[in-house]
Amino acid sequence: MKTPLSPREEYLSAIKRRKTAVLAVQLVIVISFVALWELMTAKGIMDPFIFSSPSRMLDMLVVMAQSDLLWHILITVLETVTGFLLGVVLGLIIAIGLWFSPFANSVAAPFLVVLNSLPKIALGPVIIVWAGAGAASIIVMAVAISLIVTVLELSGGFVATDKKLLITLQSFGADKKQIFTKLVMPYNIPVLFGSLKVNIGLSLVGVIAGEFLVSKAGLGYLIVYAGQVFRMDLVMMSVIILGVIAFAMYWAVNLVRQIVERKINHDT
Amino acid sequence: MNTFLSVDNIQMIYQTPTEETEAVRNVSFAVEKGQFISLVGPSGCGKSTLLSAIAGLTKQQRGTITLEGTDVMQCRDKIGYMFQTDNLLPWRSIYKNVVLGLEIQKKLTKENLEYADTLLQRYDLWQFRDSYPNRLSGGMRQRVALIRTLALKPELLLLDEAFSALDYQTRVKVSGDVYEILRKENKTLVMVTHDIPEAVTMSDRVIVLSKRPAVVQKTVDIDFGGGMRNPAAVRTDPRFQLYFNHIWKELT
Repeated sequence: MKTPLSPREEYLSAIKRRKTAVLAVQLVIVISFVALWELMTAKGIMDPFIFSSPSRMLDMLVVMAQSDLLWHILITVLETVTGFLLGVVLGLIIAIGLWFSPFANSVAAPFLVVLNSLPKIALGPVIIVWAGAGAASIIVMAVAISLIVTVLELSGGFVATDKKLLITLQSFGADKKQIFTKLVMPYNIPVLFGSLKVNIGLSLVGVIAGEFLVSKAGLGYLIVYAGQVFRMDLVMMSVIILGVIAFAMYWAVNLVRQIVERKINHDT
Repeated sequence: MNTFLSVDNIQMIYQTPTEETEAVRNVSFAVEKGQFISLVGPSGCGKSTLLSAIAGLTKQQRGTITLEGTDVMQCRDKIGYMFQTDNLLPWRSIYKNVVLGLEIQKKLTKENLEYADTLLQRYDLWQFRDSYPNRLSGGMRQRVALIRTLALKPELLLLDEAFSALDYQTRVKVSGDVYEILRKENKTLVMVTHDIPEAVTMSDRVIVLSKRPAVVQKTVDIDFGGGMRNPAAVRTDPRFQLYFNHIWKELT
């Protein structure tokens, strides 16, 4: 006879069941979408020349994998990761500077709002002239798109740190540096990682836009080339690879978050 | 006895772009070493503002506040401050929260760490030292906050409505614990409260402040006889009701 589960085991088992159910539904959605797409193009309801199809994309992937697909992926990943890291590091440094100087924060506020609203893609020609028609321009474009958002989100989070906790540290005689390292930064870890997740998408937008403009390699280059010669299989395949890259970066950010949180619980 | 804390003719004014508000006007009182004093008054009368000036966190416009003759701004390390909420850092373990003040003041000496350990053991929190604040009840968290303050060995303790966020039962229990701990550690206490029973049961003297701008309206000496008392038990003492009525009349 099966032993009845303890309340604890029942609770843990319910969590596991829910996780499995969510994953199963996600898989069903993806498989149904792919199957429906394949079926509709096979039956001629959708034109595969315009919409491509999963089987045609798979064929294209096999062909491209034997050619230079990996090279294009590598270029895009390198540009995205470089742009992403530069955007985060510069954004963090600027946000820290603005927190340490409320006067500078007040001066910078309207400029940041205007820069955030500006469509950075409009700066494309200027960036190309300044940084040259190569990878540097693409990385600058990625940084331009993600930097201001990072600064705004982080400096907003720093300023919104719980005032009661702030006064508590002040009552111990903490100086500004101590308040930042022991309270403001650890308090804003969720804000930082929230901003990193948004930046993955923004950096990819910057890189692809940059590759549209100047590149001779990368997934953005492939998409532009394939679009011009009506190779929709290649366009769709590149878009799906971009999705996989975004997912991998999202997963990596989550992993780093876990490590940082563990470190904070030990060291701050 | 000599005066330990002297608050002399204090005036405090808040400035905002639209107006100027006088929060405290000409308040004076003296506290002897080891005495427990309560400040009571209507909501928003300036009690907490006054306490924050005694802590050296805000500067008064006029008057002086001294601790054993020295301006409080120069001896902030002798003053401990406890707030309405425990204000523990959720990402730090109980132990790391307790030593936070020591870290900030760069006093992580062997002797101080041993004292922090002793406090955790003495007040039944040792077994929770590696837990995080979210695992503890409100009363326990407030005890941790008190130990964090005591670990710095302050001579003067300031409590700003330190129990008001707790439910009534816990509040009576924790205020009793805090009273006992502070008496045993031979500390001097100035507390702000809007709870008259709390003020009467825990203090040697209650200072009644008027509505804003706060002035000292009345000073009531509390005497239940003997030294150490049990704040929960004295609520049934006939003198408790007399003190309560006296202060209540002043406030209404």
